[in-house]
Amino acid sequence: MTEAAIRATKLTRDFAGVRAVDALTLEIPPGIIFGFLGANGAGKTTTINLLLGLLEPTAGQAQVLGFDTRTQGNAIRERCGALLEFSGLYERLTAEDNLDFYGRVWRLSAAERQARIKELLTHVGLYDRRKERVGTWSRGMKQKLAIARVLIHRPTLIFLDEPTAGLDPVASAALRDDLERLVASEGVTVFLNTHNLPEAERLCQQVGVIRTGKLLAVGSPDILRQQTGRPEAEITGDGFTPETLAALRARPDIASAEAQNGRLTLELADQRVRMAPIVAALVEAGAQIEEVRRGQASLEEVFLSLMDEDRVKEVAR
Amino acid sequence: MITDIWTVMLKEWREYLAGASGSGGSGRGRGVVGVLLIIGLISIFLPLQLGRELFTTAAPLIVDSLFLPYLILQTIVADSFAGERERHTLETLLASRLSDRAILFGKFGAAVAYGWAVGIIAALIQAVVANLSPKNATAGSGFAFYPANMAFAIVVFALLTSLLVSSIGCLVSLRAPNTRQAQLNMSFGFLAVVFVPVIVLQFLPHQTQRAFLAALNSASATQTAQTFLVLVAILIVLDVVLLLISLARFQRARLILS
Repeated sequence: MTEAAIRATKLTRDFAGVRAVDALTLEIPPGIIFGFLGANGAGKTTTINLLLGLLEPTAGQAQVLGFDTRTQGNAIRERCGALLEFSGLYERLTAEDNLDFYGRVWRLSAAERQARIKELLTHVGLYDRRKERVGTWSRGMKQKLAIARVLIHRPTLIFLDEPTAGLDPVASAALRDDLERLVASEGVTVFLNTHNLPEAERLCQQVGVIRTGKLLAVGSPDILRQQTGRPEAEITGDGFTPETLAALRARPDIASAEAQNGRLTLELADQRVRMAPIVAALVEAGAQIEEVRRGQASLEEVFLSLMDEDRVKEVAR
Repeated sequence: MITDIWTVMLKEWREYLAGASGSGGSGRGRGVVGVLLIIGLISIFLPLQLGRELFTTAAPLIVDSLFLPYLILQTIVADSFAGERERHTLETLLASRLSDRAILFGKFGAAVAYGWAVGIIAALIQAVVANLSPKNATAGSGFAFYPANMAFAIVVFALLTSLLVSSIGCLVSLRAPNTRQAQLNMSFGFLAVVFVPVIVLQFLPHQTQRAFLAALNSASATQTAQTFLVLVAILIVLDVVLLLISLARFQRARLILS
């Protein structure tokens, strides 16, 4: 059996009476991109700090690459790379000097450093600008360089804390592309903190959703969609009258029905619901149908639904 | 550990050389201009006025081993500790494989070596300028230099003062909310060290003042050597105590929360 890259058991951390991470139990297999989804202040950054052995847990335990975070933090940091909340680049130094410093930190030889710097900077399209001071660069370029820095020593596992936060859509997409290619070519395990759900949907093989320190759900995006989000259907056409909508809402196979600008959106009761009888009922009621499209809830909808469910539970408690 | 300390020292020196201001270009050599300016002003003006008399006064000892290291290091050390935290590069450094001690000793090592080198280089420039001064027109020829005990005292005090300023700077920076405040606190400390003894001396009765100055002037070689040893011992004890406190304060779990 392959050893988990990360295994946390009831990992808990309090700050002055506030529980930042609450009994987190998690197992992440090696070689995947794991997305840790949560709103600001949900406990994502504290989790990274705990897993890197930078913070002591209040209770519970975690192993990263087989090492205990409480007692073997040095061994973990030796084998991991981290891009934390800020890029952590020395802005007065050049891009090359930044990478050279971290290459030395991980004791790469001069030849290895030179080759690796060239390889990584070429990969992110910054090799020609390696002699420039990082302080003059855009945030997107800095984040690309920071990712190159994280990978300089070929780590087994990397932690990325919202790498695309604050980037414009173009820079964000470019960084995501670079990240995807680099991760594929390097074969590393990635623990990705993000609240950018399309990003997680595109990159991650597994995701965990955290709210106020508690892990609400974990699994592949598809499984979470099946477990949490209801399947949807979108019908384009004319004649979606209030009576037709009322009739649809009364059906047991439809959870909700909304019409706007010639577009009818249906939330289906479950995956097994067939569209043919619904379409037949609509035609019979006088609707003219042009297109029927069936889809699944997006990760964003799953995320929001999990958040709502937990909020309701919290109020009930 | 030694390799890691050296790695941090190299990074620190690169940052000193790059300097705090300006942007663009290769990023090298900006920081060194300000330091050269200070060394130049201090090392040229004073010996030019005194000529070879410089080697018989305590001025080089005070300027090169106390004043200059403090002046140069108060900014650099605050920037190295508080600045790294303020620019959010410290978290990344703490998340690396470097130990707390390697980071701390690397930063200390870079600052101490820098302050020490500045003091010694300034003393050497002063020696050259003192020999070239027009004040020496009637004096004997040949290259004059500091007496051996003075040269030794400059080297030792410059080292110990640099270590003291680095330790104080580290502790002040760890407590200060930002770099500016840390630098301000260090500057106040500097002013206090320079001016408080002078002010205190002014308020002493004239008789006591005269007696104090007379004692300083008439001190024998043995008394001077004893005073030197006592001062060195005090500085070493202070350095060790402050270094130990810095070691206790500079810890990952504490820093990551600051």
